[in-house]
Amino acid sequence: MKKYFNILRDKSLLIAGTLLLLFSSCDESVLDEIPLDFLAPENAYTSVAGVRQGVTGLHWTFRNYWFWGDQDQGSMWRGVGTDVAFHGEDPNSTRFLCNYVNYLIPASGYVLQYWTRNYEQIQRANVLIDRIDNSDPAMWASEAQKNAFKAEAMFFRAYAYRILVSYFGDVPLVTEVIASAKVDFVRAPKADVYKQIEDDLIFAGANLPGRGQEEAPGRITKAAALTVLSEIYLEQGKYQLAVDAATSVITGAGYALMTQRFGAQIDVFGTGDAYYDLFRYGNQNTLENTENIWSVQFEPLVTGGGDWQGERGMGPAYFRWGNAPDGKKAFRGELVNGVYTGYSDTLGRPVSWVRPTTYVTHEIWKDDWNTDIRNAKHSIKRDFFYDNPGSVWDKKKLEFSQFASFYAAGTRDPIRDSCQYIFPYFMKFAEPCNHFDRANQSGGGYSHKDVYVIRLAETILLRAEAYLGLGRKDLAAADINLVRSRAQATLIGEDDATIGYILDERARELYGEEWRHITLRRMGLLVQRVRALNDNPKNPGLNIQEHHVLWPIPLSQIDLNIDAVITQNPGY
Amino acid sequence: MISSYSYRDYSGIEANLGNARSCSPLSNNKIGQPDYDMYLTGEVYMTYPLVYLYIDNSDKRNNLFMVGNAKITVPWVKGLTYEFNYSNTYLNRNNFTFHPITTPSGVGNKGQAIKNPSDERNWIFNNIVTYLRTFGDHQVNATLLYSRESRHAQSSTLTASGFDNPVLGYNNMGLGTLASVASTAWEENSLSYMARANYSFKSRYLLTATVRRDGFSGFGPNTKFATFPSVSLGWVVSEESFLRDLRWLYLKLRTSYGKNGNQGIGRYSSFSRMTAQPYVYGPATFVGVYPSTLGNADLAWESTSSFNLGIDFGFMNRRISGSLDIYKATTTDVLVSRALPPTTGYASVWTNIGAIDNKGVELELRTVNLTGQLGWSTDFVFSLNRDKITKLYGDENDRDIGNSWFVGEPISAIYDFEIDGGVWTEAELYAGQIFNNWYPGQYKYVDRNGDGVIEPNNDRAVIGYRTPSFRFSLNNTLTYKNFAFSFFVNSVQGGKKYYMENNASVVNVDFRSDNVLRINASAVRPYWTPDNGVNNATGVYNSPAQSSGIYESRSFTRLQDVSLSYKLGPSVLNMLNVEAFQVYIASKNPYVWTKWSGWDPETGTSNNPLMRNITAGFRLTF
Repeated sequence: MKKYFNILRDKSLLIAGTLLLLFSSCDESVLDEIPLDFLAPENAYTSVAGVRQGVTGLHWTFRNYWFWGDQDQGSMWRGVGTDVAFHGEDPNSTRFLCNYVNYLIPASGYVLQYWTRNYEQIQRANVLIDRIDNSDPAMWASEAQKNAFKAEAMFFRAYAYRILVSYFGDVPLVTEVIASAKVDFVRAPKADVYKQIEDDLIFAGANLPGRGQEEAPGRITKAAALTVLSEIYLEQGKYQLAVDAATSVITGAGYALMTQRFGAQIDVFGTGDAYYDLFRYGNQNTLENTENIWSVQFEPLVTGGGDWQGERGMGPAYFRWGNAPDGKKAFRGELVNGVYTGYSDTLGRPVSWVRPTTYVTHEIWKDDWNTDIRNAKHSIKRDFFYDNPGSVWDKKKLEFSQFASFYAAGTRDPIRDSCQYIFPYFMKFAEPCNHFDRANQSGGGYSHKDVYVIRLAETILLRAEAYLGLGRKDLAAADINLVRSRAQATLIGEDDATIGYILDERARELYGEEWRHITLRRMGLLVQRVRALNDNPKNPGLNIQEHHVLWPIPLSQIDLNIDAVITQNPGY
Repeated sequence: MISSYSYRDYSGIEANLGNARSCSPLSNNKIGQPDYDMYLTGEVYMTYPLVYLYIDNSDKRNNLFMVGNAKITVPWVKGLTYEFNYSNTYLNRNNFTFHPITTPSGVGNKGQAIKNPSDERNWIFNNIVTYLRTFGDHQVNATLLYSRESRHAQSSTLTASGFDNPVLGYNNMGLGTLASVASTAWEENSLSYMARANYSFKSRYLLTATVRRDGFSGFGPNTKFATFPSVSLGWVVSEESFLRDLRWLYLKLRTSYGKNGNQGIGRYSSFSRMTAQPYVYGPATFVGVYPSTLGNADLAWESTSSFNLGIDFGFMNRRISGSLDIYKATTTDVLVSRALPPTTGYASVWTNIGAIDNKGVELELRTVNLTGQLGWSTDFVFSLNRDKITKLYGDENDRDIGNSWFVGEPISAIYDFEIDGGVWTEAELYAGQIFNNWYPGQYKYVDRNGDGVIEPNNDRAVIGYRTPSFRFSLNNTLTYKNFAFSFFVNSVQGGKKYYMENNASVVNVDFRSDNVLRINASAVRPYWTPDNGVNNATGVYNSPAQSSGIYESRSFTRLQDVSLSYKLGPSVLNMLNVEAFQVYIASKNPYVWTKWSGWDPETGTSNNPLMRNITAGFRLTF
């Protein structure tokens, strides 16, 4: 045995030499990773251009989370589930806040999205703010430039917290970058969240550019920050601060309500006015439009242009009507590729996610039905006509009252007829005869105009509300009249200036634009107004309970937060 | 040196079974006709299942493979060899598609063309030094290995739409009016060192000891390498002198203990990543970026220490032979994608956590039941594994509900409400027995704390496991004269609690009520109505206060292969002057025994079940 080991020993030098030769090439640095096709937070924001891309990322997130993506999110914040609208396509659906009791549950995926989308935006803003704070000072042209970018990121963070604190009450306050797994969040008192929002918006209001000074159309300006700040003050009962913030937008900042016709005047219905022009394609970004404070950006046929589902969400699904009483198709539609599509280029392809309540379609217009330009025939389309030359009903008006005599008994479902197929269609969401793609579906429900997030009329109505809080009904009435006089509606006296009247005026001026849930919650009127005014025919009042003012904390947040307790809101 | 080249054509896009299921049989669907409706009845939820056949797709793949091998027998050391091998694979794929205006993805903007060329190059080299010698009764086999692997790839995506004239399709993308581009690139590397020594004495006592050190680029900067030792012992009992006379017997005992690693993640997993998305300001495109993935610089190898006991046996001159193994293993630093609270702003992070114990048994049995004119042999394989989390994050955290991880339970645990047999009935409503906010036609759930309220904090529990309980397969071959008949049965079983999966979308009417109106939401179980008091399905408008998955067992036994063949005997073959001739009829997947309601228990909830086919043919060899 020993002999063999000797042999091994004799040759060991040789073996060692061979090994050296073989392994000399093993440089372990070949395992070092350098990303080839993606950026990391460490190297993305090391130049002004990089930071600008970060800000654009926040704009993209905002647009795609609240103005584009999922139908439930897009439609709900426009008013479904409040006093102004219910889900029209299927008023008894398990979705779309048709029934608060079965919709607002901790396990709901929709509730989770309201939570998650805001915290994703907050983290994206936090990373950008952190990188700007720790940036090389030499990369900036000036301190003002640096602060302007930081202010824009802070604006988006504040906007996300504005949604969270209204919907959920006390929420975890995250202002630092999260760099590793964190599972010990606790809910911060609302006051701390408001403080953070105020701090962010005060910085944003001081450091963002003024009207017309922004780097590009659609970017955030002082006025946007100050309008949200005014709302946040109002929410906390800080009325004078709310007035001051709003005033700095309304006076001397270059903004004014549009009173004359302007921009592209696309009078599909033969008439038009300034209010109608506000919502036409191409009219939002122009310097001429002094009412636009912030609009999310869309553009047809351009990379990144996206599209907006305003038509799809807000209009009636007339194309599903079926047949005229003579059994012929009620709507033949446009001729595309040799086929009649069943869709009208004037109406697009709406599917009734959001059906305005009678309060919005009729009650609020009663006093000025014929004079208020916001109720003009070109702004709210109320009349619909059969459109099929093959039918004897061609060009005749659809009248619900005549149905009993023309359609065979039992062939129509009155709820679908009036909630899904035909109801007053607010043309500010539509872009009649101006669709750029999906010709086979008359645009498919999408359009490409820019969409207001904040319009001066809202700032004015916020100030009116703040004046009411201060007991200045005279000034409140004056602000409301600013909005009404542009609309050519009757002016009100100071005794008419009440919270209820402001809610009516907001519905007239801002239906589908304002975040109605937040407005009603601020006024403490959500439950009362839903019960009184939401006339969903399948479920009047939407089964809303007192505890539904605050939404439930999503179950997955509670489940995954294993190192600390996130308490659930009462009632869930 | 060997090289090979292959060219494969995967062109075409398959029809969609999911769409076939949701399309109404009552619609005028014009199947196979050129004027088909893209969406049946104009309903976008009911896409014509065959519409994909109208997409012009060309998917050609070129694969060049080369392997070089050099072996040097070191002349002055007997038994010492050095081997070097190198292989290089080059894959090139050209995937080109034109979606015409008559298809869902082309209708929006006058057709869409996408060109997606990609290529990937992989190479591996191994340096192997082997020393193999026999010294009398001693046999030594020592191996040293150094191995390096590298993979590089890149791809581009060119997209154009808006084709006024579609005739040239993707071949002239310049005819489109709206174009966009994207590209990707990546690289990954591995390094391994290994030393192994085999020693055997009289081919009776066997010892193997191995140490390997593996490195993978996908881990964190300081955790790319890990070392894994192992040792195994074997004893061929039947070679011992006291048993050697028993010629009909073969018996070997084996045991091993060792560690091995699991790479388990993809490249760049330790990095935080940014995502880029285009936005517009006015008419101009601007690129936006944001952090979308949370990195973990400490990401490291998962390692498993396992202890194995095995026995190989053969009786009756190996007419009965096989092996039996039992093992117990502990996996530490388990690589998992951990779901995070939404307040982090991220969905999940790759991380190493805790420990999992595994134990199991594996049995293989081969029997030759009949020899002679009628021959019959059987192969049987059985395996069973049980796993259990023994540690999560340390501290007192032994439950992570959100990830469904619990100390003491398998990692595949399902944490949910439990359907308590049946749905609430009208009788229970009228008798006041129904829980508050619950209605007839909704599932009853187990009320674990008996408070008359079904809520997530107290009424959810581990109600089953996704992984199987045990598997077995059985292959029988019978021969009689020139006939051969064989069948292969494969089975995966879960018993009452294992191998469960949520099959709600198949068994029950859709919870999303507008789907009920808009698609042919065919459910296996007829839905509940007051007049149709079924107890295993809900009503159509089912909007429960709490809901769970509807779990079904995926247990199945599949007759996987059956074949019958006949071959001509030598005398006839000689007469015909051919070498061999065989006729056969065979079937793959002719039958499955299962209670799973979906397409296929093995593929679960996917819309791609295993195909069933029957083939008949002949084989002729000259």
